[in-house]
Amino acid sequence: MSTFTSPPTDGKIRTANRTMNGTMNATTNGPRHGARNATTAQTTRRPRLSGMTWLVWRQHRAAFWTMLAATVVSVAWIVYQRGQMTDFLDAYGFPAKNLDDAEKEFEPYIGAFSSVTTGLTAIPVILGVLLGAPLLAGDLENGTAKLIAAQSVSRNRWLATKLALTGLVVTVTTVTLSAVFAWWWSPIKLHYVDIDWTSREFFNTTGPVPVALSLLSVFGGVLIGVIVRRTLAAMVVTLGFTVALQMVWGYFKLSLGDIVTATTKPVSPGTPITFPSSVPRTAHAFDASYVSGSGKLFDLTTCTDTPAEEATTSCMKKADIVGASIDYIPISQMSSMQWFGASILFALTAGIVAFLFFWGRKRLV
Amino acid sequence: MSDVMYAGEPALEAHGLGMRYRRGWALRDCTFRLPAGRVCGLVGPNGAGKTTLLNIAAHVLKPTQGSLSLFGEAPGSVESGRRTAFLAQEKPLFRRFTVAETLRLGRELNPGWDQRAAEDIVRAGNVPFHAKIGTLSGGQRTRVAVALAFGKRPDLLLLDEPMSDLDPVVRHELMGTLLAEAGERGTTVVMSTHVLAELENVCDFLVVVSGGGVRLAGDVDDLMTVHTLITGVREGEGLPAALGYHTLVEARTSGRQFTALVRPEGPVTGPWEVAAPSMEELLLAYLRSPDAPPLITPTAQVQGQASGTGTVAA
Amino acid sequence: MGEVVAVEYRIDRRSGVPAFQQIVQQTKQALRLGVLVPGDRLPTAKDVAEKSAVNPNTTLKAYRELEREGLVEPRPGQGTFVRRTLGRPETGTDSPLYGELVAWMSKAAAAGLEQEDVAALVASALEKQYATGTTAVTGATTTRSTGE
Repeated sequence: MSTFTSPPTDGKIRTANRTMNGTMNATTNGPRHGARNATTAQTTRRPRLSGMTWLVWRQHRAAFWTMLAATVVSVAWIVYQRGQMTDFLDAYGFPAKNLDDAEKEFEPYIGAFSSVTTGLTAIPVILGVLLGAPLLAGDLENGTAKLIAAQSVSRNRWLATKLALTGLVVTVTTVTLSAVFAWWWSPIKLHYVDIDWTSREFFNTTGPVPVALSLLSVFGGVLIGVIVRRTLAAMVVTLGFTVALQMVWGYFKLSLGDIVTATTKPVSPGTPITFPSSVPRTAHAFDASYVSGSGKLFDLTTCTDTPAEEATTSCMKKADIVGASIDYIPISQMSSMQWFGASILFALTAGIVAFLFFWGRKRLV
Repeated sequence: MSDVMYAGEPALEAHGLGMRYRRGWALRDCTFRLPAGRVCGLVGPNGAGKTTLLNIAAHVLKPTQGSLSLFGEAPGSVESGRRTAFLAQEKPLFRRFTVAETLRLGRELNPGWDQRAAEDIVRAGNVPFHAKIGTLSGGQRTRVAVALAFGKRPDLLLLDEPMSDLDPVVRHELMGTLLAEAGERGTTVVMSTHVLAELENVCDFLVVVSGGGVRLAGDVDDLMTVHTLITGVREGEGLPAALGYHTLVEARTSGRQFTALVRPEGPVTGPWEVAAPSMEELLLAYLRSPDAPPLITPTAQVQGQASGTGTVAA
Repeated sequence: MGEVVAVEYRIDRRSGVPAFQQIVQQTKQALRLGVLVPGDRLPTAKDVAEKSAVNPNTTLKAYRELEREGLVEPRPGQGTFVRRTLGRPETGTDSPLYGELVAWMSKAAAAGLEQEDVAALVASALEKQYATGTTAVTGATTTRSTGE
């Protein structure tokens, strides 16, 4: 019925075992594994994260390190490419010699741009889907949100730390890439005409635009994650959201600028029409039109019904076309357009963050 | 640990607590009081509102009606957040964290963290500290989750089906650890389960919820004392008329014999065999008879609660 | 007496006997058999909880019962210690009474009695001799638990 044991010995042996295990753990497994030792080792190695910051960094460190590493690799590649390009330009005799004449020889260097810009323009979508969507959806799906809620920290602090740390890494990454890419492009920006500065490859990858687009995509993804509460579904919806954002942005970005119109001096109707020459070479030009004596605009297809020159001339005369005009946006507006657009995106992002705090917080378990 | 089972400071008090989901009421008019220092079994069939009740206490859900207080504070308050630990049914942990990192999580996020207590619980199960959570067995993972909950040094520990996915050996071992730790610190424990055998010898306080409401609440000793199991020979249809004098919880007949669980309102006299029910018999009787009058003993009553909802005769 | 010895309780969850009574019974049995002697420390409520998953309050309640019967005494900060033994010369396996019982058993076996028959005989003889029933060995009795 009863068995004989002697607790002091038993107890001592157990305690001894415990301490032995403890020390053995510490010595054999090294400082990485013992919880307490890990702390001291890390203090000496690098500034130690603590509290919520440590948790968020630890949870998402794979994503954060990947982003930072990818940034470093991209920067190295861009530095290398820019070196190649400037070497060529020096050998070519730029800027004394016009780049337009280089044509074929300069093509590989332009090709290098397009491979990088493809990646850069995809960044907001990639970050939104892979970082933003799972950021909270993962915790909601796995129940780890409940785990955090059971600790002695407020939900606000958890949410704030998550958003702040993610926002910081996204900002560091995109600011760096934006700056380095702009630096690569800067020598030829005002001299090379085959690059349209309003194209997504250049407009969306320089200045504040990549930062703003990425932040909106990521925090939009976070909000979608909180609504959907399933990682995979959130990623799919976020993919749709970020692609739509790119489309809407592409559609509206030109309306951010002030359109400048260049018009030729009026000539007498019937004489051949020349086009305005005051349009800068690097400007983004819209459609050109004919202008009548009364200032009315005509399509360039006017009087092209007949191939006969006689008929065309008389047609033009009849229509009282005295000149031509071109609408364009000069590259000098690029920066102000980018900042204007980015500030709208930043405002939307701030709205999403505010919404996450006021509404999403309640759903964070 | 207090030697006396006093009915001192309440660890948890529910006042007319109700929770309604889209599909209907999960909990309704739930009122009881849990004195501090008890190990309380929260019993009920699946879907009876046990998880809902615990989630409200853990500030995961907001009740539709009524209120709940932990040591006199609302569940969301800083104070009650610090004093309460909650182990959700699915025992969520970060799968990619190591055991050591999981304990560090507890240390980083809880001011009163007890690293030694947490490490001891982990070590007692021989769980390696450098192992990733995702590679652990169900029992080991539960142990780490329990360690995380205990390391917080809570005054109130809320456990939702803590042992549901464990084999009997691990279950016994973990329950032992849990009781020893709770006993040493005087931690109040609320443990939900639908496995009645899990509660025998473990709980000294019971709360039975069924059909959304509280059916039975009180110290186990009190509850056992006021119930009697009567076995006898049937006289015609139904129960002997003499039994009508007592409060009937459940009656069952088989052949010529009847068995009745009653709350005697006086001496039970008759040609019957009278015995004390086991905890399992008592719980089963209440769970099987949703119409039986609920019983909330004085220690489990909220101040000012209408004693009409079942007072102890003795 | 300096040596501290403990028993390990074996709590049977299926027996229907409350754990508190099982602890009381097993302690008394150990005292009777001389497994526990005065000066021995009983396992702490924490030890019992760890080994047998019994609520510490249950163990303490059992110890209070033993204390009330004067068998053990709590020493603050040290634990619960055995005060006196239940063992008597007559209860040892070397006592003449034990010898007589063994002899009787072999007679019963020779008469073809099964173990259950013997147990029933012993039980009814016990009942007759100790009918007042000061100790309820099995089953929870309503009279007992009303005490506290």
